[in-house]
Amino acid sequence: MKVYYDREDKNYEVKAKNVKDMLKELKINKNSVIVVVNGTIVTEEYILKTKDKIKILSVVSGG
Amino acid sequence: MCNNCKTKPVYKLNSGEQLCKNCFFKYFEKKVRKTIRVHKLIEKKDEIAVAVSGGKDSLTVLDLLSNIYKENKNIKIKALMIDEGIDGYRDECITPTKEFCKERNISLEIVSYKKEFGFNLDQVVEGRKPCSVCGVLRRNLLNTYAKKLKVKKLATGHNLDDEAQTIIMNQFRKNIEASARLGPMNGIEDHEGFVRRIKPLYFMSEKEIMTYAFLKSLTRNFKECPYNKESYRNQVREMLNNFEELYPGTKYSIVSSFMEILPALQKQEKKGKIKSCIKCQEPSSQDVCQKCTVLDQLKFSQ
Repeated sequence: MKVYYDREDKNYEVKAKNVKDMLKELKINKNSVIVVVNGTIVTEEYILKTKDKIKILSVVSGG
Repeated sequence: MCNNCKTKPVYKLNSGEQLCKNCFFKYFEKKVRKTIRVHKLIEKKDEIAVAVSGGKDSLTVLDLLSNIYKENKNIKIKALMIDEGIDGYRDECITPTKEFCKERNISLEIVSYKKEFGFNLDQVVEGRKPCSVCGVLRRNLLNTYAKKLKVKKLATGHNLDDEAQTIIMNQFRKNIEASARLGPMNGIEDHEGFVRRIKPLYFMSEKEIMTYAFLKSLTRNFKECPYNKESYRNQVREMLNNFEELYPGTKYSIVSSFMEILPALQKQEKKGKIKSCIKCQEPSSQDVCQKCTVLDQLKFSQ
């Protein structure tokens, strides 16, 4: 599955089945991001589906 | 599923409780209102300027305060924006912030480094720590213009993460004097030189604010300041996020335990040592204020 991470402006390929494992696989701290699937925020329990459009947005913004 | 109404969850609290969009909004707004009430951040007849950067934190404060006090004619909310001159970052926030304020009928004052100091931040950061230069100049302009706007308080978007980081940074750097100036409301009461600063998002985490701002469509600009990644603060942020993942509630514990010792720190801080800067006459603890010191350093090294 393809995942876009805005902080690095990069797409990644992941094997994980849910959001929690996806963040672990990408070594991203769950407190530093929100995960948006098909335009909606999901929690770490969300089970990923093949056609999902997944974005990981960093919560570190502004300054 | 949401613990309250069994619909799709958008947020999971440290307690394990899951909340849907509407329950999350209620949880968030209730917590902010409680911070304002318990710490007496806003009182009758207050005029408030919200320091807006165009990012999620400050726009959340502006949106919340303008909604909470919409019907209250005794409390006025304005917006104050500092344009530091950061190409590809701040310039992209200005137009959306103008539109945001226009839609809500909030007056917006924009002050730029270029006009005030004669340079953009981008022009002076080479070989320097950008956040150190920017922080001093921005704080100075916010205080100066808050006074010009004749507001009683300046509201900022500082959150639980910011505060926990600052407390730890001050400990690591043995800067207890700076910690005495923290808290949900800081500044010196009734000092004509300083406008008190309030932090309505004091107990909200960065992740909660991001969730709120995203769900409310307050902004789609979640860009990080390009100078942020280089900063000491960023290293502390990563360390605390790692601790928070292992030990949920760490950030809250840092801030709430700090709140218990804050009165003692404030008492210890020497009072009555506010002078006027010999160069600009703004209040300062030294003969020359930090802003003038920074401007002198920039002038002599160019």
